[in-house]
Amino acid sequence: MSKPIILIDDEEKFAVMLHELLQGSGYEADYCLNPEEALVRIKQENYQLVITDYKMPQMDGAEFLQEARRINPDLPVIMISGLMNMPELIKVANIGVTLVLEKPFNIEDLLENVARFVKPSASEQATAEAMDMEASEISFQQEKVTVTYPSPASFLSDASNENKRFLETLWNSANSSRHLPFYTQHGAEVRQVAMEIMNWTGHEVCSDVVRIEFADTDKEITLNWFMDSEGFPGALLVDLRDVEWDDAAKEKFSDWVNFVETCGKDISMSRIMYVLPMGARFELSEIGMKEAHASMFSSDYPVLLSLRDRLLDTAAYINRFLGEKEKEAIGTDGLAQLLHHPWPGGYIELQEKLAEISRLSELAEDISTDQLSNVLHADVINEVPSAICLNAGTYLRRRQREYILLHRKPGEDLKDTVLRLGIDSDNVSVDDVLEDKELAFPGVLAG
Amino acid sequence: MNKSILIVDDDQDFSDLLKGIFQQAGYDVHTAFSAEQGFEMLEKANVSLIVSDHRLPGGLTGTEFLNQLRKRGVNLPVIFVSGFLNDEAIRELIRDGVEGIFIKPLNIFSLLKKASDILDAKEKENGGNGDSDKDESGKGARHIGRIMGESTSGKDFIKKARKASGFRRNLLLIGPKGTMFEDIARDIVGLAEDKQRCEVLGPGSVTADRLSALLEGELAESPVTLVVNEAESLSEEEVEAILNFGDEKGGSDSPLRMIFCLSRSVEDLYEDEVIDDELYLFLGANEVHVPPLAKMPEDLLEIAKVEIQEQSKEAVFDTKLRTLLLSHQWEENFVELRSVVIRAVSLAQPLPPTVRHFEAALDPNQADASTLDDVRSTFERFLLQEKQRYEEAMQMVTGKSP
Repeated sequence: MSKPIILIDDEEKFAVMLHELLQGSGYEADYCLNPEEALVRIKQENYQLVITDYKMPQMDGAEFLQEARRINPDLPVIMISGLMNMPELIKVANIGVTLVLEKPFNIEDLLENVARFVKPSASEQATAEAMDMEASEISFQQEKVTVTYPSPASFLSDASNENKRFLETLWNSANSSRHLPFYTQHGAEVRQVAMEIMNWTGHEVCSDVVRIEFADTDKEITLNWFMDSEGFPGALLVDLRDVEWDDAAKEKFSDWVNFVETCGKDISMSRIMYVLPMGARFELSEIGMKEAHASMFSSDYPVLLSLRDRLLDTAAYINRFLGEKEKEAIGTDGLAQLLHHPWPGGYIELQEKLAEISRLSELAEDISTDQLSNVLHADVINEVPSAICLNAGTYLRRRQREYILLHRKPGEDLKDTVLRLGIDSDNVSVDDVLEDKELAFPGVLAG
Repeated sequence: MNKSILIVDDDQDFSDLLKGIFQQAGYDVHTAFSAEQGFEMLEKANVSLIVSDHRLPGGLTGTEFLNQLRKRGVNLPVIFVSGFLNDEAIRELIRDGVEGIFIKPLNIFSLLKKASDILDAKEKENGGNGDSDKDESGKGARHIGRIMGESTSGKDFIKKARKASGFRRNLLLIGPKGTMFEDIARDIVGLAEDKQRCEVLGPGSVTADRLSALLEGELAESPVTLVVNEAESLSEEEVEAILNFGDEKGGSDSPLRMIFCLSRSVEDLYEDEVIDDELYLFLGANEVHVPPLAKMPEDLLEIAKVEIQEQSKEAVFDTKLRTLLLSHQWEENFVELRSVVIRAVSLAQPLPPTVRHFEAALDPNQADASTLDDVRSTFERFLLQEKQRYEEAMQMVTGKSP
């Protein structure tokens, strides 16, 4: 699928690290280990931002920049490098580099700059709108979202209004359509979504949901498996999150749908779900497909938001996986720490780490906050963030920051974003808000 | 093209050297010896590029100078020339959007090349102002009556208006109800190379005296464009005064030309006997049609954005608002748009207007005052909601009320 950012670094480890960092912050990116290959892709794709290393064996950053400028003079290019001397810096300044960050760089700094150049993708927009929709519909009397699907849901948490809406859309689609695309991030509860659907369609729910990578859909072994199986799976997940969405992929997609629709198996009760990456452009009209097949697709592709935007679902999963004994072991502070964690790896990360906590609680009665921190940040390359006071204030300030970054217009000064969104200027300054010191509306905490 | 450069450097010798280099290359050069002098010069002179030393009097660094310029709303490209710069300073300059950095000893050719590249790129961005043969697209050109030419019809209009702007005698501006004729006429007059006088008259204000005053005394030879608003509603006497004045002073060599604003094509007006033979013949057929707002969706959005931001800087121009604006018919065009914006802004006072205020402004009958009562911004509601959720989530996992 077409992504907004391209990363170039000959060091694979660094490229992968950066890629994960961006993904964890909700940005989809392609990466290339070779600048020449990157130039070809810049020509083909409509990237909004390039992030590149300077020293690379095939060509240096200045040459690369010159070529990239020739292809698109307005494309923002951020250079990350530790080994640039003055003449090199001057050279790239005169070719019009957008920003030079020195290694080791400040992650916040990078993300803030990425936000300046990358337009909110369709689903980031969806997140922003979902945030606004929730907020504008809030009647301050806990109004409930009305749902028609069998509720409460059995597998996917629907404690949050966001998931209630997601399931409601999916339920309405699943009643009349066979092929159901939806958007979500890596690590999200896609199996739980499939299990919910199996439940709705009267299938026996097995946790062993059939999930295949889109890349495998045209392999003989895959197709034979479907043909040799007794029936067709009641719910099938096809994962498109790592797909390069080019013409070949579109053709392959059309072939796949054709296979499903004409394989001769009874598929009347089957639902096929397509897991799309956040922000991707998926247009049925761009996929040459028989009209009869296209009509079997749902028209609404809902977004399963990332866990950090669904605090109540996080709480529901914590309750699902931790018993009283484990909760006692980590204590109230520990539970707060779990709620405050942004879960960049989604449900899968949550599940793994709660299992780890269960294991630890077998060994000792108490789990200290440091131990918990180590579990939560085990996979972070950098240092574990020092413990901060966890309360509604810290949580709200983080959410406030996310809200502001999500609502920033491309190129807009963050201060202007805050002013545009509104601030209680009698009691608080814009700088305090941007430095995470204050809420834009401090009265919220008091009320 | 404006090739005017401001050099800011307190080293007189080096400043003279730079001045010589740029003057020989055909640039107009202004010089200043401090940032303060530079700011003064920018107010007086029409500068298109700044070349500055990185270390300025008063301990000012290039980055600080750049920031001060931006703070004053000066977004001109800046090139720094310096004896020495550390890496951190260069990275800062890049971050602040410097266009070029040159270290002494200076490579004159690459400095000149850089300057001309910057000005070329800038000119391209501005759509080659004033050269109507070269710029066929109409897009990127200066707007006419706020129409930028973003839509197909808008682009077409801009193209035709630019082509017509060099008219000698009469130009007929045809547009639907609510068209901002005066703004459009003034912008068309403003396209001329030399600054022309532009006078606007309409029904009730046309008299022989006022007309003859346009070319009286020392103004006799000075080019002037008379804009006649609602020309089809002029009284018989007014028409006669204009015809007499035109016969007397008009002609291909005359400094006088006229723009007549009409609601329909002259052919139609003549057929329906709204205008008589004499006026019909006088007007001619040099028509430019202004499309209705609803026919220019992209321009409508651009114009609405500007209008809204003029009224309320903090207003959000989001998808929902855009969809709402596009779904409206705008039968009274600009005038209606402007009044809707003003109404929405006043409904939302003291906060910036949101979609619901525009909905109410577009349909005053359905405005449900109660939905407008809540003046809290979405941002504040969001924070409030998040606080409730946080408390609820804590309660869920701990089993305790907060």
